[in-house]
Amino acid sequence: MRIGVTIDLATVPLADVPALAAAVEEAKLDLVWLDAPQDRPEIALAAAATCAGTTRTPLIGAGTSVADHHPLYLAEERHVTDQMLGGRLVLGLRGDNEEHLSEWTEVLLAAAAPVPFAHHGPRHTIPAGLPPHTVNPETHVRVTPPPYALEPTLWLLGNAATAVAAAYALSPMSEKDGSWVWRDMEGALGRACRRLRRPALRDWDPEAEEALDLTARLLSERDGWGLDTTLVRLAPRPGTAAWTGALDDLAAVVRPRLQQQRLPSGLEELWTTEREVTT
Amino acid sequence: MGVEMGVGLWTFQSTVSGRQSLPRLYRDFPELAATVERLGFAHLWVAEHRLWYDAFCPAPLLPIAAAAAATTTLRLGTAMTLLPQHDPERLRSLAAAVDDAACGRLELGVGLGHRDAEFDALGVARTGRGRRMEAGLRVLDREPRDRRQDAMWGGGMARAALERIGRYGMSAVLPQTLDAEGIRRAVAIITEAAHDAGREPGRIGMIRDLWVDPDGDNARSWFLPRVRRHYREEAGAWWVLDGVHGFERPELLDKQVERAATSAIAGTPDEVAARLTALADAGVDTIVARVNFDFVSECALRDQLELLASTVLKAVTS
Repeated sequence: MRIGVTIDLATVPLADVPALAAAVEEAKLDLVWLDAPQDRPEIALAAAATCAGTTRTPLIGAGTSVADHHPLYLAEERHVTDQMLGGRLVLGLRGDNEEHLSEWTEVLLAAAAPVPFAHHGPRHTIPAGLPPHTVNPETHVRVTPPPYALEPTLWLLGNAATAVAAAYALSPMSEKDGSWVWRDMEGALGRACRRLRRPALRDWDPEAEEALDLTARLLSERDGWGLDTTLVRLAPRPGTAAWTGALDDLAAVVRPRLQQQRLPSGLEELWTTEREVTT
Repeated sequence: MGVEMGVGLWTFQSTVSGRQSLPRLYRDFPELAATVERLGFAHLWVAEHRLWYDAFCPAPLLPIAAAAAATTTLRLGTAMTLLPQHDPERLRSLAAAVDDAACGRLELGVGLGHRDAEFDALGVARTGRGRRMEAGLRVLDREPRDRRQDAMWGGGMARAALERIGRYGMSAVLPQTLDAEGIRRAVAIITEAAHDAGREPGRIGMIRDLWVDPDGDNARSWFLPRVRRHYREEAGAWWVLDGVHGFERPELLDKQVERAATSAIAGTPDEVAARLTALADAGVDTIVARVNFDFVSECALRDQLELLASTVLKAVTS
C-alpha cells in the first residue's frame, strides 16, 4: 500500500508548502496531497508547482474542484505542472453535479491526448467557433504542452465521483466507506477495475489512536474492499514536531505492516524493539 | 529610482528550428532561476501563449510558483499574462497564491493577446478584448490589493493603452521598437494619466532582444539571423497583417521581421551597455534583456547569462 499525507491549503500558506513536502519526502512517504479550499480551487496546482524544485520523488497530489470558469485553464495548468514535476502529478477533481463533473472529466481526458480535439458539451464548446474569428479558424485544438506522463493520473472526488469514475474508468477517491463505492465500480466495469488504484482519504490523530490501531483499520479496508492508497489527514498542525513524528510513524510503523499479506513471526517484534532503541 | 535589469523571456517552446526537451526545460527552470538570482539580476520574466504546436507555455504563473520556491530575492514576472483570455476573479486568486508562494515577489504583467485561435478556444470574442481588459483590471485593482501597484505591468504603444497604464498606476512594458523620443512621449502620457487619476506612475520597462559577445561581429552574425528566423515563424503564423496571417502577406511580413531584427541589440558588452544606458537616459528604469529564445541552447543561455551579468549588468546598474 502507498501512504501519503494531506496538506490543507485553507490553513497552510503556499510559501510553507515546499518545506512540508520536503519533510514528507524525507520521511520516505509516497505522496503529498495538496487540498485546495472549494472557494479557491485554482491554488492546488500552484501549490503543487512549488514542490517541483524542492522534491524529487514523492507523487504530488492536487485536489481541486469543478468551478464556473472554463475547464481549459485546468487542463493547461495540469499539463504544465505535470511537466514541472516530471510526471509525478496526481490530479484530484471534485464535483457534486454529475453533468458538470462529467464534462470537465471529458475535457481533461481529451486535452491530455496527444492529438487535437473538439468538445461539444452542455456548458462548453471547444473551440467555440465564434463568428468574428476568421484568421486561421480552428475546428480542433491541441492543448500544449502535453502532460509528462502518458496517462496522467486523474482521481475523482465528491458526490458525483463514483458515477463519473465508472463512466470513464477512473478511480474515485473514497472519503467514507469504500466498500459500496467499489461494489458499484465493479458492477459497472468488471475486470477493468483491476487497472485502477483504490485511494481513500482517512483521518488520524496520533494522540487519540495508536499507530498500530490505524494499521489495523487500514488493513481491514485493504482486505475488505481493496484500499491500496491511503491519504492520511493528520490532526497535528503541519510542520510541528508532532506532525513530523506522525510522518515517521506512518513510514516506520504503519506502512511496512500493510505491504505483505502476513509477516513472519518475530519480525514485528524486531521492528518494535529497534524503534524503541532509536527513539 | 535606479535602473534595474532582469532577463527573459521564458516561453518553454520547442520549435522546428529550435528543438528542445520540454521536460528538461521545465525540470531545470527552478535551478536556472536560482542561477539568475545568484548572478545578480533583479527579475526574470515568463511569457504566455496557448494551443500551439511548439508548446508555448499557457500558464506562466506555475513555473513562477516553482521558481519562487528555489529563490529568495529574485522578482518573478509574467510578460504578459493575456488578461482578456482569463476569468479575472480566478486570475486574481491564482496570482495572489503565487505571490504568497513568492513572498511578495510576483510582478504580474498583463497584455491583450492577439491570436483568434486562443480566444476562440476559450469562447471569448477577440473583438471584445479591450473591454475585457478594462473589466479584468478593475478586478485585479479592487481593494484590498494583493500587491504593490507598481508590481502590476501593462503593455502597449497606443495612446489608450498608455493612458490605461497610467490610470491604474501600473508599471509599463514599452515596445522595443520605440526610440528615445518615443519613450519620452510614452512616459509623458503615462505620467499625465496617472496624475489625473490621483495615482503615482509606476516603473517604465522595456524588453530588448539582446546578445553579447566579446567579439561584436560574432554577436551580430550569430544572433541577428536567428532572431529574424524566430520572428519570421512567429509573425508569419500568428500576426494578423492586413487582415490575414503573416505568411499570406510576404512583403508585410518582411517588414515586420526587419523591424523586429533592427530593434535587437547585439554587440560587445560595451556596445550593448551603451545602448541600454541610452534607454535609461530616455526614461526606462527597468530593462529586461531577452536572451532566452527557442534557438538558444541551455549551455549557450547559461554562458550568456554569466557574460551579461559580469559586464552589461554591472555597467548599466552601477
